[in-house]
Amino acid sequence: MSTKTNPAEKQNSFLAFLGKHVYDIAAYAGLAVTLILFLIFGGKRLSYNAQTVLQTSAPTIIIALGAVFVYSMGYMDVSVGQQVGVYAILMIMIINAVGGVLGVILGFLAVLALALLCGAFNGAVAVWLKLPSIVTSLFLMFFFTGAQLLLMESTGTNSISVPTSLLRPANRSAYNLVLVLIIVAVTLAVTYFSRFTKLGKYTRGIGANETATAQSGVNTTKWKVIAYMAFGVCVAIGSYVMLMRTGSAGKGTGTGYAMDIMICLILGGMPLSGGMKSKVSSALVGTLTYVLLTNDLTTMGVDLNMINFVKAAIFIVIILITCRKHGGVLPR
Amino acid sequence: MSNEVVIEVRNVVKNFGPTRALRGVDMKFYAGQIRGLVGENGSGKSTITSIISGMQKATSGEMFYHGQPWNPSTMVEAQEKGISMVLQEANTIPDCTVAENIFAGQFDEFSKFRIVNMKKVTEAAQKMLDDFGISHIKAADSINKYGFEDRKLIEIVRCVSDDTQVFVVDETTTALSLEGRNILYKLIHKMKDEGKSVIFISHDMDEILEQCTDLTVLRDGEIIGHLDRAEMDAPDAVQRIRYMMVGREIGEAYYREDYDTSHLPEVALELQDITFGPIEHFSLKLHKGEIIGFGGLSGCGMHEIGRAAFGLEKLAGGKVLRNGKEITNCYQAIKEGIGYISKNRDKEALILEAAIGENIVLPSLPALSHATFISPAAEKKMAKKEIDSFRIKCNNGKQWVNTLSGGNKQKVSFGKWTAKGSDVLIMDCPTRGVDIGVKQAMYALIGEMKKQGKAILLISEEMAELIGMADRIIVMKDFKVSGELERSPELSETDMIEYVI
Amino acid sequence: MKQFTKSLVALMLVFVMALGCMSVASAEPKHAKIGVAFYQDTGYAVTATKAYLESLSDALNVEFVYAVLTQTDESANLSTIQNLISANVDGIICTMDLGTNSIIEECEMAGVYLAGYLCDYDTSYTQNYDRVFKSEYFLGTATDGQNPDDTTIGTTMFNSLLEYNARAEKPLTHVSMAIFPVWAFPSQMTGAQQFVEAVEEYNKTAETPITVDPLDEEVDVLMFSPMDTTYFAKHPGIEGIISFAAGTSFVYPVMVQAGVDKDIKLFTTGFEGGEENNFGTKGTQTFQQNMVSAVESVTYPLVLILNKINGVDFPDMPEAAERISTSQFCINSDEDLDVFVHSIYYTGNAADAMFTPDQVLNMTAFGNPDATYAGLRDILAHMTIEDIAK
Repeated sequence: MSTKTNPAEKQNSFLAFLGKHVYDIAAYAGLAVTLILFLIFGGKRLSYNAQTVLQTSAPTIIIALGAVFVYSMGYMDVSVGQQVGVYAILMIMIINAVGGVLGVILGFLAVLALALLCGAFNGAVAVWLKLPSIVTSLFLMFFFTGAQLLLMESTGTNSISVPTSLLRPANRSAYNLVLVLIIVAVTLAVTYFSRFTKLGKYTRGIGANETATAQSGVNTTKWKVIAYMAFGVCVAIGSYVMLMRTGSAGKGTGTGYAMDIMICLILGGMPLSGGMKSKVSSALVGTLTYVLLTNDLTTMGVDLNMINFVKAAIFIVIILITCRKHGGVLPR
Repeated sequence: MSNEVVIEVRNVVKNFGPTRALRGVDMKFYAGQIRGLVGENGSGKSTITSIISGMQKATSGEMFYHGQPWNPSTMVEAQEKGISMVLQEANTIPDCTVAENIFAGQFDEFSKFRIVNMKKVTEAAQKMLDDFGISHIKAADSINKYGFEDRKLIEIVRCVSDDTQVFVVDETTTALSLEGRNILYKLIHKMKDEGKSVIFISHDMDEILEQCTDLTVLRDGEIIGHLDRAEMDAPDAVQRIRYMMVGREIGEAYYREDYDTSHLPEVALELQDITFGPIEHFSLKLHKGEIIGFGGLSGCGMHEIGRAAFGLEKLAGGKVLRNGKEITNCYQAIKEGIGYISKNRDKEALILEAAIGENIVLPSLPALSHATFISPAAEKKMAKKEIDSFRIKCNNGKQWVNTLSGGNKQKVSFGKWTAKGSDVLIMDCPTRGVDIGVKQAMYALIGEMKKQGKAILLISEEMAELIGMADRIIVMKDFKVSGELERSPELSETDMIEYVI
Repeated sequence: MKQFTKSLVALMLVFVMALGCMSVASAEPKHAKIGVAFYQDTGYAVTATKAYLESLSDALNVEFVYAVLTQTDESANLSTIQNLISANVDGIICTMDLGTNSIIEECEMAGVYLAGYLCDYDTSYTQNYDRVFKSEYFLGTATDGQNPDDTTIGTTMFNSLLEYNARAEKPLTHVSMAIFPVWAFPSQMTGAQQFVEAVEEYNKTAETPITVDPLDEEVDVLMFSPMDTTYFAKHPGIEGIISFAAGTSFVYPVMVQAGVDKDIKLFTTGFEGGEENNFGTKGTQTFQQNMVSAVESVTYPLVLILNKINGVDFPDMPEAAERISTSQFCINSDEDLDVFVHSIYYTGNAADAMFTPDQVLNMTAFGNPDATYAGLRDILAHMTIEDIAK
């Protein structure tokens, strides 16, 4: 028999490559298209638009990066939006009460502690009560919705604020630089923990096969809690970055973050079932695609009210591409 | 024997990426024949039958069914045209009744105005079950009520009908008890007598030699040779077939050759009067350098003992001790150097959708981790060592486990614990579905482990394996110890079977 | 050489002509793109405003893009504004005072003008006056109804009540009130106080005094959601409800639910459609007064933004941005309703607007050198129901 590769075989290996990397290809192609459109339609406000994209995407990227650990396990969290809202309100209250830079530091630390606690709760309760993670996070969502309303009722206004000068450099370039630095730092940290430590390996293992992972000596309860706490750290940082934008918060602050993060991760190629194909890059790629897409559609002059429909259509296409079964499987 | 060719394959090639599963196979299957297919894991025997039965498509090549070109696109299509296959893995639909499983996709025959007459379906299904000799299965019951073996039988009932011309049995018998096997044997012989064609894949050489009329040996995706009944009956047939399968002389050394049942005095693992589920007051001391075998029928309780020893069962009484510490969960067990090869390979032992390397290093990650950092180079090195020493057939450690054949998967499962260097190994059916070449290597490794002073609990449904490997065999029946046998050259399966049944 | 001179002359001619054309063109308003961020995307006011604005787009050379804001999420609102800026708008008309600090910062950076409509910007006015109202890029706002500085809504409501009592067989002697929270509409609390004072003044001389239940913190303050059903238990024996809050959405459905819509009369701000069937002497006769802000008030932010874009200011433009009260149509009777149904608010037809495109152009500084800020304020402050062409 000939050992030369024939065309059929070549095609086959190409298809196999496509099949294996279909998530990545779809995700990166999406980013490339939105980026090209962005450059074409950016027009005279290109640099302004680039800054807008950076500022809008920064909190989502940071939170989505943390969510990678949770989604790797095939879990999700729907409480993050309300958490962000409460954390922003709490930070403002603490800053206003304590004042100055000390207030900012204390506010952030308090929120970080609370976020870690919520992470631990999310992870632990789901395991102990043998509930799907979505149920505990639903509980947290309702809890935080209530907390957000109560906190705002107590202020008697619709919106509370601190001067943004306390939170970030007044100079736009410096502000943008700070955002880039935070994103880079969080990305590096999350990449490290995901690629080179037990945390990433175990969370992906739990997503791919929890029983087998447990029987390989991984205390899945413990690592679920750790994964949710790692997520909590990113939620706290993300809340601060979000607060940097407006310096204010109210009853609706944070609304939609949970869904946005899920959509961004899926757009970035994260499988909803988690497992070994989970990648840190999906947080960056997905969020940028999502934010660029919104910006593109606006600059292209698509009716702002139509944008949601266009997004939904694009989203379903990506889901169809990535969820299709592919590749032959060697029996046994 | 009739000379009518039922199925012919010509120059069939199948590639999985760079892996070449079939390298241009030519083969004819005749009517009135039970054709055995043997070969090592990954030799291509399952691949060829899965192509014939429409489960997947060949990369290139032609097939003919009764002289007509044959290109089934699905298993359902193949089955409608008379080619049925029973797989090793469970293939029933959970949460449905037995009858619904049997007639899945065929409700049209029972429906009037698109309303299915479920009573008729159930009656027809029950008749089929009765005809098949498994009246203890009730068609109206939920399939969840039945165990793996019964489900397998239901699957057979589902895919065999009067119209079946070609019946593929792909390693199904490993899931069946003696009784179940006999039912299946009767069926394939009946089909042979009716002039139908049966393709029979099994790792059990005795079974192949007893049941098949013809035999084909495959290796590395190519046909090595055919044997007819006369050649199969030759005195050196087993040796010859093994040689064809492995491509080299295996030699006599298969099981352990020594009869040294001594062991070190230290107790490596102790089960102290444990009680859980139907098992009551079970005690056992496993010493360093000792191999204790557990034998019996699948439901006798021996698998549960293995799970309990690994801390997977919640004990109602008694304790599992290792190094003086009580083991209450599997994390502790692994920390204390216990390894466990689960019988449920695909669900418990391996992460199928992960790389070979990732699976191998998983239990060893805490050891590889230095100040949270796990070096990819160290991971790769560890994985490569196991891949090489077990000769796991793959391109590299990044290949996913679900692309491996059953035997190679089992090697990965084994490799996890050798990489970890566990001192106590609980092996639940470690050689299940593994071909002789690898089996031989595993037996040699188990023998080597004993010499290194490792303690081994070998749970197996194969009596020959236990007799060949264990220092002491504990036979269980109905969750109780029914007998204990010491290793000796005289020990035979007949001695053991009286305790088993 | 001759050839060269000829072509040079020709070229110069072309240049001069081109210059001439340009100077002619400059008399036309510059093309402008304006983003309009509404509080919601439906309803009479929004539909009518859009129709009105679109009718002006040719005469004023403006293109409009629309967006929807949230009532509670500053960050989302900032993103909406940023998206509008990305879409290359030159100015933004905004209907929500939420996250305004960061929004104005964004506008300053992008050189985009911001002006308000149907919003009193009270949070910014009371807390961040310097940051917002003194910003070069914040031009002012037309409040929904009265701005908190010159509230007359309480008196208006009282007058409507008297007008009803004068014609009714059974005058109302016991009423209660409903308002939106102070942080959102401070003028409503002021209005409520005004109403109570007016009633007390009236009771000094009246034969049949009117009882007003004092504001109840729990049920009378509507959090932009339907009022609590315990409202009627808390106010036993009432014959009328004076709703400074939008009563059609938040009071009337609860009245129907409680089965009191035939017994209790409703006086309310806003008109959302459907009221006409039960107004005055029609249907259940529940609605006895509706008060509507004239959508033509959007002319105020529009003219101010267009002036800036065209680089021409009113000579009397105030230093800091101001907020003006919009004119209110007060529908007190069947006759008023018959007039009102011909307004642009009701029909959504720009032909029914009080101002033609030319009239609006005439209000701008670039369209009319004599136009003044005071003039604009004056025109917009005196639109009444009588002005609606029948």
